[in-house]
Amino acid sequence: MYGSHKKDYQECIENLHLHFKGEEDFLKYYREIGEDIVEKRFLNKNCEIVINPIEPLNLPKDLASTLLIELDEPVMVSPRSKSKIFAKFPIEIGVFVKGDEFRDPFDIFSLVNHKYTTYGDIKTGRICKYWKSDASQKIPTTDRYKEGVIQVNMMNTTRRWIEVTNMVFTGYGMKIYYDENMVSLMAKMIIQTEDQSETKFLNSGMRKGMRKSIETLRPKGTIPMKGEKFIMEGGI
Amino acid sequence: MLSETLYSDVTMLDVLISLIIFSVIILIGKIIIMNLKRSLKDKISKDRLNTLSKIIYYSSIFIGFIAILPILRVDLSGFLVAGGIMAIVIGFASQSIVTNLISGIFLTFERPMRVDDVVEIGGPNGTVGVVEDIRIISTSIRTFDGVYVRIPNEKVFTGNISNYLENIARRFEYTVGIRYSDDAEKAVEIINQLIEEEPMALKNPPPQVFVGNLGSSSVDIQVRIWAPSSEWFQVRMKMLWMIKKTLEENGIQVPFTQQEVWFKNELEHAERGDEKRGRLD
Repeated sequence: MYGSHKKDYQECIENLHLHFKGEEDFLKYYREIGEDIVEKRFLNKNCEIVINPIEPLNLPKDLASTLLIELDEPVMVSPRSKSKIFAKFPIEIGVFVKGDEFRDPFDIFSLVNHKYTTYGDIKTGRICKYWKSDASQKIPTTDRYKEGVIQVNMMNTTRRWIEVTNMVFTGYGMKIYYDENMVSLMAKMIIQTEDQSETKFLNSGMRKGMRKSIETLRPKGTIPMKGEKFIMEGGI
Repeated sequence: MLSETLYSDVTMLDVLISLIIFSVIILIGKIIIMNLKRSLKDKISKDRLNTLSKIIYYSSIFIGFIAILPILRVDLSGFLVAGGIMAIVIGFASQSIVTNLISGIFLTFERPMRVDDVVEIGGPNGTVGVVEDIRIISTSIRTFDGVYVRIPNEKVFTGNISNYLENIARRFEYTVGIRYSDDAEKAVEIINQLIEEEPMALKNPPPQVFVGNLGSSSVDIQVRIWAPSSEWFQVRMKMLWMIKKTLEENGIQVPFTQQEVWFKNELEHAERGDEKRGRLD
């Protein structure tokens, strides 16, 4: 499904039905997931669509710009050390028309359930998209239409063992890569104090040959973006 | 005609020049505002940008006014005495305007609300709506039934302001009564499941579902859910109906108020009942 498609393309996965086909003088896009149906007509018959995993922060509503991954079981990071863990993150899929200069998806859908949470207190904190994942030291197997794999390179700069339960990432500058088997994200987490750390995405795929997804979340007016960092001040 | 003297040695040309200078200064001010709005649109909040625009606009009027005074041969020193007396007169006359103005300045600094916030001004029976603009003299609110309300800043500043969007999340609460014959544990489980499935019901702060009261007609289950402030009302409406529907689908019902009546002499009552029935036959 991911990649570029011309007319007469069809895809059925679980309860998702998607097709893009030519009808007389236009191209018709149809997508159905349960009761959620999107239909569009394109007046240019030579349209090409691009289907990409995008930042999982658009559905069900554009409400949060940060993703919080809660680990099933907390991990302990040793003092003054570097380590890496793998976790999973939810997938949202964006459908684009090729050639759109602003690269905004005309349809976004997802095969997973969504949940929000707060990070920090309700006065100074923020609303985050929520995902619960187990942490492992090997790349976990995932359904690439539902979950992606995030590799987090952790650096503990403190002189204590630090327990990590939550990881919060900003959606700005989220560098998602994909191939035939998986969707990936690479990030780093610098633990600064017992309850503060900095997270940032790295601009590379987890494996060679992975293709980069289109970035949709960006402050208006500044299209190219470096990975933005997020300071986790509300606890790790 | 342009050299015609209007008063002292001020000619029509001077007046024309003054008007041009005043207009050019105002125009420059507007160009600055336009460019600022364009460049800062995505960088600072809408209400801050509005305040900044207003400051620039009123400053340009003031600068323009000061700039044309010498051309119009207006000597400000002559106004000192007259100005003092006028100030007292104007001061008394415009007492409420000044109060509103000062309240407006304090509101701008204290910032208890911003443009687009949902607020209630003036206590429980006050005006509820979305803040449209906070001006120097007054604040305008758009109520939920679409009415434009202008409130003087003095009333806003001295009254109670409840800002429903100040915090990122809000809690709502239901009391769901079920029959004594229903399984309360199952009801709690069903409600917890519904909350889990609702994306806008926040994971943290955690929701609470518990038996809160053993009422006269029902077992009362207390449901407390946190939702993002902007979605609070929609989630509250949606969840209540979902809970009722799902509980009923699972055979758990919300009971009507019940009362058991015990007769002192049941036999006597039964006999009277038979007699009555006989007469009717």
